[in-house]
Amino acid sequence: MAFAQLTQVFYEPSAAFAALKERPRAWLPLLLLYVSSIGILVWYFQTVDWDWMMSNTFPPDMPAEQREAAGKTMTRGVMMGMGVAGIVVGTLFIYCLLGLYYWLAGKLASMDLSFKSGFSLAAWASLPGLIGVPLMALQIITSKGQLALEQADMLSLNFLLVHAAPHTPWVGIASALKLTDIWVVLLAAIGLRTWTGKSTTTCAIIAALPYVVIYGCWTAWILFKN
Amino acid sequence: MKRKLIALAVVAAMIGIPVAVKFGSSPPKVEAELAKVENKAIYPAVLASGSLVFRQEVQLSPEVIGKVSEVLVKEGDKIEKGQVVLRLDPSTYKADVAQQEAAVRNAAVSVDRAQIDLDNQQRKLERSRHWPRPSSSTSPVSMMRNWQLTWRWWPCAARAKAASKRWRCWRWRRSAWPRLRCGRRFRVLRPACRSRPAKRLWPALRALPAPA
Repeated sequence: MAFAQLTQVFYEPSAAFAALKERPRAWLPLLLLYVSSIGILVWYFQTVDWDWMMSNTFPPDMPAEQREAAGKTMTRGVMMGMGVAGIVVGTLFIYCLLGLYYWLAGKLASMDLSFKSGFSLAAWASLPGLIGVPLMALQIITSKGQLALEQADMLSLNFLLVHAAPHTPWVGIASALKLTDIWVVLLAAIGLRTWTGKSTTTCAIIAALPYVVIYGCWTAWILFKN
Repeated sequence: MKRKLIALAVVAAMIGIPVAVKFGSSPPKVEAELAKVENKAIYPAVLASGSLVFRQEVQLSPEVIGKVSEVLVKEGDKIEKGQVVLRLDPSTYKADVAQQEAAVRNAAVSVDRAQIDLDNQQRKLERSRHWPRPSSSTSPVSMMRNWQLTWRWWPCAARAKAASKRWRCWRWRRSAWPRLRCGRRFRVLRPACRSRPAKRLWPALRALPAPA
């Protein structure tokens, strides 16, 4: 079973990916990520001060009529349902994209890597994201209900360094970039090297390229718009 | 074992650093404007906002619908009874008046024409009252009598006109004109054309008594 690899991937990633090479099943990390993310999200929406959230979610220059109309449609249940659906569909979609990317990169770099292996690699490499779950729980407990969702992740660059105010250009990218992303890229590179036998440099480039492209384009867009 | 410790340390650092940032950072600064203490006069004034409304308001509206071309008063002016306050654009109404006048002229021409027709009809009526009334019987004797009455009492000018039309009727009947056209055109003259008796019957006809 793959339960032993759940902890082994943190301290002996090469051995863990070597054990997973023959049967790269993604359901266990995917299930863990789903349960933890959905649990934290439901807890957040149940404890958040809704009036405070309504007054802080919309931009300050939004007219009162539109604010009132949006407040009528955005109820606590609706937002929670949309968040859960976003996690379920969005996570699956991102892993599928990464699996497709690893399969295409393997074709270009003459590596024997299937889509299923790429999907599984993306899921297993995302496990360091679980470190942020207890931190988010700590934020929810200590915030007394007045907490924005983008500020709930204490591992984000916005919380640690940038401290960008809401509705500013850099808050989105600063909240999306996390400290655990370095670990995720590292694990993906080690997994690629273990499963394909290619050089460390090639695997590191393949693993880091999606992050570099996405966040690089995002930064360029912000700089161009402002 | 060493790897496990390293991994544990990294995880602990990842958890510890945000916690330290959260609880170790100073509370956010609040900007405030400072002022020096000094003596100032206090005026009993109240700053308030409101809206001014009229005590009595009257809606003015013209009796006809039209485009306003000129407003002769301003807001706040005092006006008197009978004073002109605005003018409407009269071009539409002028066009309507011109159209109605043209319709009146057309109607007058129609009346004149009808009067002329009436005069003509009355003249015809007067003239026909001097003519003898033919009998409605279709027997040969009554037909001959009708012809005699017509021939005797017609004015000379009318007889000449009838003869001329008879001649034309005779000529067209022998031409390539359709029979229907000839019959329709000279329908009035047809009895005169057809019922003229032979010359040998004229003495007997003359012997008949004169009409009453």
